[in-house]
Amino acid sequence: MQDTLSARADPAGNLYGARVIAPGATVDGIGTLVAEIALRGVAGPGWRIACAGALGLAILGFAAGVAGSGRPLAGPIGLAAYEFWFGLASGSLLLTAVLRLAGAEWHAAIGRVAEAVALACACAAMACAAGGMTSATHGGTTPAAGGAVSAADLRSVLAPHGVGGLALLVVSLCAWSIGLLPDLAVLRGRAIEAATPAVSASIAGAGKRSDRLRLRLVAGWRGSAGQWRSWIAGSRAIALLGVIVVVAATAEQATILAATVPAVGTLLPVSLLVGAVLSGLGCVAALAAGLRSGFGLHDLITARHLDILARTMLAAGIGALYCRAGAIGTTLLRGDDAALSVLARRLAGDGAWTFWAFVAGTLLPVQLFWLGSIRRSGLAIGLIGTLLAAGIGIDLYGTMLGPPQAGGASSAAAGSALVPASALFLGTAGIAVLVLLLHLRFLPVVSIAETRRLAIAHNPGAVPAAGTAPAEAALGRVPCRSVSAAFSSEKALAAAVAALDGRDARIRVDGCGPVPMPDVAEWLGGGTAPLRIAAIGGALLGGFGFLALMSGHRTGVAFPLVDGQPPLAWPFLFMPSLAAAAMTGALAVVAALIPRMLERQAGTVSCEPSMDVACFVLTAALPEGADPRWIERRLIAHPDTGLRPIAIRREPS
Amino acid sequence: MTRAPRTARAFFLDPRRRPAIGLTIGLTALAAALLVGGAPALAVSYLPAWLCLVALPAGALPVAIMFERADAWRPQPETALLETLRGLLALMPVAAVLALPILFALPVLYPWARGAAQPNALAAIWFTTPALVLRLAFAFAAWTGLALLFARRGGEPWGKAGRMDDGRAVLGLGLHAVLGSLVAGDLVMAVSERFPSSLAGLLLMASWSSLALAAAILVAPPDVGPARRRLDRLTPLAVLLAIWAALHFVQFLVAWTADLPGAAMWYRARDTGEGRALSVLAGAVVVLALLLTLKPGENRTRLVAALALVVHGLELAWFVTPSIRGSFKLTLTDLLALAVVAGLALALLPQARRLFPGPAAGRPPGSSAQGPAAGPAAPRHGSR
Repeated sequence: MQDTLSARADPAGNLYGARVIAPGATVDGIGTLVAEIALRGVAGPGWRIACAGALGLAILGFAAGVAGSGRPLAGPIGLAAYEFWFGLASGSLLLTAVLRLAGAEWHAAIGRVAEAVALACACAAMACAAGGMTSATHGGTTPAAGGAVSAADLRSVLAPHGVGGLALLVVSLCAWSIGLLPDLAVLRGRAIEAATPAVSASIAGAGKRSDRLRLRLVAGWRGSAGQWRSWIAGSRAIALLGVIVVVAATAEQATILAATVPAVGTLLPVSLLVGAVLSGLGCVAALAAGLRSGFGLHDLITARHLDILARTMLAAGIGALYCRAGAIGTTLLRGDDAALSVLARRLAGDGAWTFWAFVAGTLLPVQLFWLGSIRRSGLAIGLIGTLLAAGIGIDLYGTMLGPPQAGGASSAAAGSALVPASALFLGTAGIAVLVLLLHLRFLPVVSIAETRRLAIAHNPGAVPAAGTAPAEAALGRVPCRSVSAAFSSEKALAAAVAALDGRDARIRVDGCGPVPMPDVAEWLGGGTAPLRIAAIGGALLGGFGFLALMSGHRTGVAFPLVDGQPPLAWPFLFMPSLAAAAMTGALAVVAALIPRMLERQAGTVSCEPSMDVACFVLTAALPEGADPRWIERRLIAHPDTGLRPIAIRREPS
Repeated sequence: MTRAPRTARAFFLDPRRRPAIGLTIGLTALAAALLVGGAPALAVSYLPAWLCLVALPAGALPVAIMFERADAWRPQPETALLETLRGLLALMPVAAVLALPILFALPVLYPWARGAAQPNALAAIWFTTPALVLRLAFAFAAWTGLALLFARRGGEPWGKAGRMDDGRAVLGLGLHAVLGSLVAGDLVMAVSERFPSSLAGLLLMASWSSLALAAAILVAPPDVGPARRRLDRLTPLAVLLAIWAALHFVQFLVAWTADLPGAAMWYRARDTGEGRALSVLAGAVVVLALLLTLKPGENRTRLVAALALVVHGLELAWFVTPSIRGSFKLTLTDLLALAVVAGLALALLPQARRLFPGPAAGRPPGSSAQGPAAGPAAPRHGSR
């Protein structure tokens, strides 16, 4: 593969406008490279040791935090841990969602990494919430260190101000799983191709559990134009809902902080969002640099990817600088005595080290990306990205400290909760790392479908074009069930479908390919209206349902789920309702999408379900006794020889 | 040699007469406003009217930068709208000149200029007339420099057709954010000392950008090409409107949650019938824009742009006037002040355009010196 995909970006030159896919990348080569990692990959002792370590960390962390010490769980570390994981998940999800919606080409190789980071960090955030670390805030009290975990604390995950975290987890899971669907089909096809006859037989029966699971997950995926269109529409809908959930959940977190931490300023929601994007970018960049180096993915995650990630981190870092300077400047010029004392404490008091650690770990290192040599170094990007995320986490801890006289957790209280809260933080870190390790081991680390699309768009030889269609004289009248024809491009397939326009209504035509085919889908008809209706309907149902549930509580109707929570006014409920709407909208999209993805269609021969299709294939299912020559003549008679099929095959009756 | 226009409409639309017509309208409206409300009332109305003017170039600047960067990712560039946005940048020197009357009305507009006590020593130095003049001079000098730079394709030196560099874009956006925050704090939020909102700068910049994009959509020639490949102009406007609405809402939410007394007073002054009607209208426009993105079209886009223009114009008055008048209400002087600013801007525009030579600033190569209102550049698809 390294020989096949040999061309790389020049590390010494200017990377502006450089390619985001190697010139030699082909559809087949990409499938082989990425599937090889998932099927054979990293299951060595190193991976097992890392998994065991992460699992042990998770178990020991929770044991020490919950059962061991019996100390209070809520505190600045616990709250900062929740905000930290929440921010990482939000930033990663927002990154991949915005890039997908904007149609940025470089998203192809980075999106899967960002989706995996979002899912892993959302799991860790929910583990924080479930562990009771945020119970005080979610229960409506100040974040003082006190109170043990109770059933009410655990229920608080579903209470108004916990729905943001849950929605983030659900939407991250939806984005990640929908993105994986076509790639799982590629893995299945590769697993079958690579298997010996004996093993091949076992795949359907008693083969490896992971292979059997993959087979069942994508049993009906054929890579048809309709499936691709639904997949694109569903991915974009979930991306849009992801943006909504990130904004709503972050604003919700800001309201919680504004209610509990004094003098936070109105810039806080933007500051939290920028911090989340910066930390998410740092984590994604570090992971991408590691994958590129560790798995030899230089041709898919190019130097230009690292360059763009570094530039984006620089832009987000400048945004973080603006937010911090704006908040400090406003306080200095217009703040009252209380706000000035909070600022003085933040800059020179007990918690001042957190602010200066943020400056030294985040605001200053990111400026190194002005240097081209730093932007081109995977090691530097990995280190700085990790540093950025850590700096943001420390800053969140400093924000949670707050002044002791104003309701924030005092240093003494923070100290008393230091050991259990730190143990719990390490436990949640173990969960996040474990999820990422499992993803790296069993699933494609880079989106095969999207990188293939990029390769086809930029590399003329990405799809095999060998072979020639038979001459018309060679066509005989032999009855058959279907005719299939292979093409070297989507354009040729679309032309073929157009050539069959006006055919016998009983002939069912379909097109399959390794990448989305909008032109073919347009010719074949159909639409994505059901997905839109599902998304909008699901969102409206979830949003208004949540609002009704909470409003009912406000007017005195008791609901077990929210019983015991303080009364809520509508501004408090708006953002949680929006997050709930995005969550249910995403679930509705997945529910509407899955049947379309997995539907089996009789009569398709060359587009076998769950096989990895390396070129563009047209299949025409014929009625009983129909003459296949009409179809074959239309296909090979195209005036442009480049649009004719490279092979035609009949499936006997 | 061109023939003289024969109809009244053609007479008034003749670009050569536009400065004189603008000056006449401006001076007439000025006299009427002085007669109707007097100088103090005109000063209060002049500030939001001037904010509408400065919103066009200051709002167009980041949108033009972002559009040009986005064009690097797209197979088909949005040339017509981008050229119109660049044309709006020529209004920056005009806005700078028309800011001068505000300096003469400082005691009417700002409590600190009337001798109100400042919360600390830094504020006492910051909020003084010389310091304000220095900051505004710096802001408009830098903004004009940015306008001159980005009125050309790629921000490249004169006549060189280049591409937008990331570093130049980041620096341009960063400097614009600083300048916008300074001006928003000095001229808009300073009318009230009650509400120290650190978000106000971003909020006003979002409002300006949305207003400028809406104006550009209304003025720019329609996109050409096959329907399926036409560029969607509604989505960027809807995104900007959504960001603007979200910023407004989170500012209110955080202020309300934190229970800030100053913020409560600030919002209470705006909680009138007109204020609530504006909130409802703004919300309806945002929802309409988002819904229409499902099926965008030329006329629908222009409808949303026109509504957005109205909402943002009212919003700028909503920001400023209640802090001085005690409540939000529109007056005849507000409309006359808008006419004053529009007329004078029209009169000064040809002089400002001389700073923007070459095929930049909204003029197709070879055309006479006319603004975007006179007819922006024809679409040049595929000119990259």
